[in-house]
Amino acid sequence: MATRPLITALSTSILAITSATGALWLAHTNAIEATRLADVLQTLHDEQNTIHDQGVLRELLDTTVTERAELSSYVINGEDETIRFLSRIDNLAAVYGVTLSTDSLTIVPKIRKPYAGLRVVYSFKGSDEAVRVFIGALETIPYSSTVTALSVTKTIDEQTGVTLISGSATLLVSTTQS
Amino acid sequence: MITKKDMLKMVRQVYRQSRGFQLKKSCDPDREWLFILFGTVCLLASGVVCTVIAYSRYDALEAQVTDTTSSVVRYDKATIERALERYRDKEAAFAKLEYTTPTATTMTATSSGQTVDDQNPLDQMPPSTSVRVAN
Repeated sequence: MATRPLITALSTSILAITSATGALWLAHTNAIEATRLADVLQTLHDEQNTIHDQGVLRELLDTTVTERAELSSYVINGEDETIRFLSRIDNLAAVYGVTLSTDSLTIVPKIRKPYAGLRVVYSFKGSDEAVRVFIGALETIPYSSTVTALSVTKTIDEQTGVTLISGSATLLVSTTQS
Repeated sequence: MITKKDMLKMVRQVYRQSRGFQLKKSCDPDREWLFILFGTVCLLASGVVCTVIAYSRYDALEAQVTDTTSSVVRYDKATIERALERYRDKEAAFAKLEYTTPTATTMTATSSGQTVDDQNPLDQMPPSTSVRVAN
């Protein structure tokens, strides 16, 4: 009879402590799950953004096919096109009657991002008009190119009286080669 | 010698001691019940508070999502058009020169890409001189 309230108090205390521990454990588990859920939501959000960006980019690529193809045609792309380009200039010189020799051929890495540069140094010799037209052709050749240096020397053959122009030109062309 | 009076005193003392722990003095059922009731109410109340806090904290999980900046390539249509225009002009100028046979009256392109008549700087150069131009 005397121990009955004591047992009640003890069992109640045990129940309370157990409940409190259970509640704390639940709260802790909730916090962990919430953090995980927040990470998952963030990943999902990032993934959605990426998919959206990919869609936008794909649409942009689809709508600009023509322009990009045209622009690419003005840049030397690959070894074969480099050879074609150099041959074209050689042929031009031959057509104009200019004696042409290639002094050096170097790749300048990343001159205009994302393109590298192909630097060609030419030596030429020919009549006044032929050299004039040839230099004009070098300047206007339909590629992303610049004549970065030009040196000309004018001489007149005293015996024949013919004016000869000799010189060198440095041409820098954009290329996709690295 | 132990008298009857002493004996009675001892018996009373032993009897009193044998009554043991007087729970009635420290435990009152009503008071203990109140304590238990109070403890239960406190536990429930703290549980409710914790639940409300947890709900309000985790209900807005989506608001915690930060918007990452996208890095989609920007397409500058105007610049592309200008570049294409420039290359088309260059191509047209080149096409004129490509099929030109050099003669004494030929017009040529200058370093700026513009065509000029009879203003060939090579003509104005005295014989045996050199000119160097570098960009």
